[in-house]
Amino acid sequence: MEPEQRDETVRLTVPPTLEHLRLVRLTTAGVASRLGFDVEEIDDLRVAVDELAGLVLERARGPLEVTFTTVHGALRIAGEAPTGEPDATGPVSVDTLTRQILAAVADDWDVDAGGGRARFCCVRRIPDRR
Amino acid sequence: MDEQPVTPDLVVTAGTDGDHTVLALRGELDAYTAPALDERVADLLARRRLDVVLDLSGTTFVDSSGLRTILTAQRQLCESGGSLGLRQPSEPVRRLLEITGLAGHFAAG
Repeated sequence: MEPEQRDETVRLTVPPTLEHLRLVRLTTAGVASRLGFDVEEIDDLRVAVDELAGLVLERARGPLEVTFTTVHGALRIAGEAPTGEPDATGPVSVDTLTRQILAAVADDWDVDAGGGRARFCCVRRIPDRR
Repeated sequence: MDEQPVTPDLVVTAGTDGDHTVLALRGELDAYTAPALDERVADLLARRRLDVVLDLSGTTFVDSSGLRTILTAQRQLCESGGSLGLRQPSEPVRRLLEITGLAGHFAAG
């Protein structure tokens, strides 16, 4: 018999204001700590999520929903919010400074808009400390 | 000492060190709190207090918005004949300065 799979997805919903970036960072730190990331890695993840969630919140006209899941040995953090611009599609503009930061603190990331929603995704491998 | 809680997340304390104005940033400098630093620097520019040190020893978080605000402050102060130095950047600040190649861009305050 297969062991029961537990869904350990963490979900956070925050109002669409930059004031709530801190709450997204705090949750990120809590989830990452539980998964065994060290202090520097947690700081990196906080920065990655802050940058990406900030880009989505700048466009958001409704709540930002963030989910934290583990997929194939990595922490995947995804966020999505309505923008009120159903016709706007395509990648969200990301400046050089932010790209430099994201390249250093995330293994993979993406941010885009379409269908009246803006969304981001960020992936970082879970450290193997065995 | 003039202490202004910008939000519960950031407290800016203004003091002096010789001819320099020292702004100590305690807390998190992000897209939400960075405009408050903009305002403090605009106020110093208006009062011709042009030599400024940012004490970042108590800054527990900084992002690209915070860095942009610091870069803008440096440019505005330098264009007015002043200066901006960074004092004791905390580990998170130091890490972001290194990532972005800006570690050597600022004078030590």
